[in-house]
Amino acid sequence: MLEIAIITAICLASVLVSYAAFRRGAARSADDYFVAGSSLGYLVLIFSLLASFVSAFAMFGISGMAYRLGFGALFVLTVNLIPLGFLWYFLHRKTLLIGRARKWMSMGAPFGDRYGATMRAIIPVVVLVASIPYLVAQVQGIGIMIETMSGQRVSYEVGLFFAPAFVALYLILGGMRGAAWVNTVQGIFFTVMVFVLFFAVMNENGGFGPTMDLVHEKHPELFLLAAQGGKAWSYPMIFGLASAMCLGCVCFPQPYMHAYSSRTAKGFKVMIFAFGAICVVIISMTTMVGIAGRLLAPGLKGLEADRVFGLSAAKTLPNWAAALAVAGAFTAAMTTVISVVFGNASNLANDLYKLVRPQADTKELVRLGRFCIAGIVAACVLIAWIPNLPVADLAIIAFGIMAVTIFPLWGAYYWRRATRHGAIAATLAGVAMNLVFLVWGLATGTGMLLAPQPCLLHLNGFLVSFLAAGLVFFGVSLATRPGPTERKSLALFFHRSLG
Amino acid sequence: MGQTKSPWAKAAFVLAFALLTSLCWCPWAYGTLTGRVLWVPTWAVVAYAVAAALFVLEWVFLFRSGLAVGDEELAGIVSELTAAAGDAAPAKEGGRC
Repeated sequence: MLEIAIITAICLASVLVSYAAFRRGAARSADDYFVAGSSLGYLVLIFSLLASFVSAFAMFGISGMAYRLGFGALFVLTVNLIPLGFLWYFLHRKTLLIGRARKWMSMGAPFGDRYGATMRAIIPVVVLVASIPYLVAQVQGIGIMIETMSGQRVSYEVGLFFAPAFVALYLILGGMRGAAWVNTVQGIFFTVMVFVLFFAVMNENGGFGPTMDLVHEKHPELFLLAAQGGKAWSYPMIFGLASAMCLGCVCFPQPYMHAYSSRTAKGFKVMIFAFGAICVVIISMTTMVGIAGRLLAPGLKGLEADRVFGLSAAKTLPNWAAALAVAGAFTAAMTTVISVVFGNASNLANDLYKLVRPQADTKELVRLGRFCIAGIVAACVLIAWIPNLPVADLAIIAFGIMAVTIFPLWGAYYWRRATRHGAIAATLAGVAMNLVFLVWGLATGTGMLLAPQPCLLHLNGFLVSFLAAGLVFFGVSLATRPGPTERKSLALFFHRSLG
Repeated sequence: MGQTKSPWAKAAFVLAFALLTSLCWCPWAYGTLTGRVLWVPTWAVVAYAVAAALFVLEWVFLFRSGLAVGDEELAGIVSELTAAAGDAAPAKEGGRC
């Protein structure tokens, strides 16, 4: 149980760091609680963004996916994220600038200012729908990890309660400022531990080269794409997963919140520039750990493959070091839960509740935010109780759903002719199609949302939903006329100072 | 400010970004490469090389080209927007077309 004790100690340390930030004066107002008073510096911005995205998916999910499907996993969360540097800039430059001027605090704010109250109310619901599978992936990953590291002395079900309890505790204590600092510490910690695990795993067979030679000898299919005769990784599959993840990253609440939190333009640019590169380095290592895991933990099938990260640590490191390595991944999952739950709580409080009660004061909003945090975490534990999909699949589904909001976002900043009808119709159509494909895929066992389907012109459900959302956005916008809100918003969203 | 920046330079960057992004999202030009380089598949090495090229291009665009917003402009833009925001505050409801 040494491993569990170490993980518990690291979680408690997170709470203490967060509480220390709170005691120093953070989170005294709604502005501090939600966006840290737009005062986060480079290091905190980069690592808190990294920690809020790098998660159970990046650790157990990707290593499990690489274990099952091989090197093609590099297109899911590594090289495909490099375009974020410019995509994030073009799509969130105005989020930074107008957000500062308008004092935006939530993801729904730009949509509300550009398209009106209905769109502002839809966004938090869409984010919540997309966040649920992502959060379930984290909670599920944590449960699996606890069970694996305790040698099954702590059951998966009990493990599900472990991290959410800590997360709720330090979010309620610290707010965004606390969470951002905790994310930074945890981000650095899990980065170091991934390096340690990578070198330990490769050292087991005499280094990186000999390890890859052995894997290639036993499992040459892991090195192949479909174009070379491999069983997986056709071009449509690669494109579908790569674009879903990258575009989903642009549309999740974290980029909005971190744009609001950037102290300077340079800080904002450094953050978006560094993010993809750091992901490439760290997640390439977890991918290779998963591939090398074929030698260390052979025979894992389906959902079991998500255990390869923990099993590799257990087989290559002393108990205490394995616990630290897994704790690094554990904290990565935890920080993602923090960030996503926090973003949702902020959206629900600022965008939805304020529509119902415009006179709500700071105290009331913060209290509601805390209730939302507790409710969302509880719902995720409930859903994760019976795991249906691997961690990686759950996360990609979440990002795919979120990506459909890219059209209203782009239209808000770059297309004067965009209308609220187009934005609302595109968002609802895209999300609905994703959900239909998800349920259909689960019912028929075809994995319709992620796997290319002959009936969808060999595209996956995400790409079809995404393209449909785009068509609906342009079609409906052109078929309707901008209302008073859209016309009035042009003065701000297309102000001459924005270039 | 933004309006003094060359739209042609920006367009050139956007085109290069689009090309390299398509290669980062799908190995359409190199996915059939066989063999291994540095113990990993050749196509994976090419993917990393494309990603590295895009990374360098992004660095040039964001920090060296003068096309991206800088701190010297930030305060001025925000203050202009703050003034404009007062006039452009959204209507209570979206209104009807």
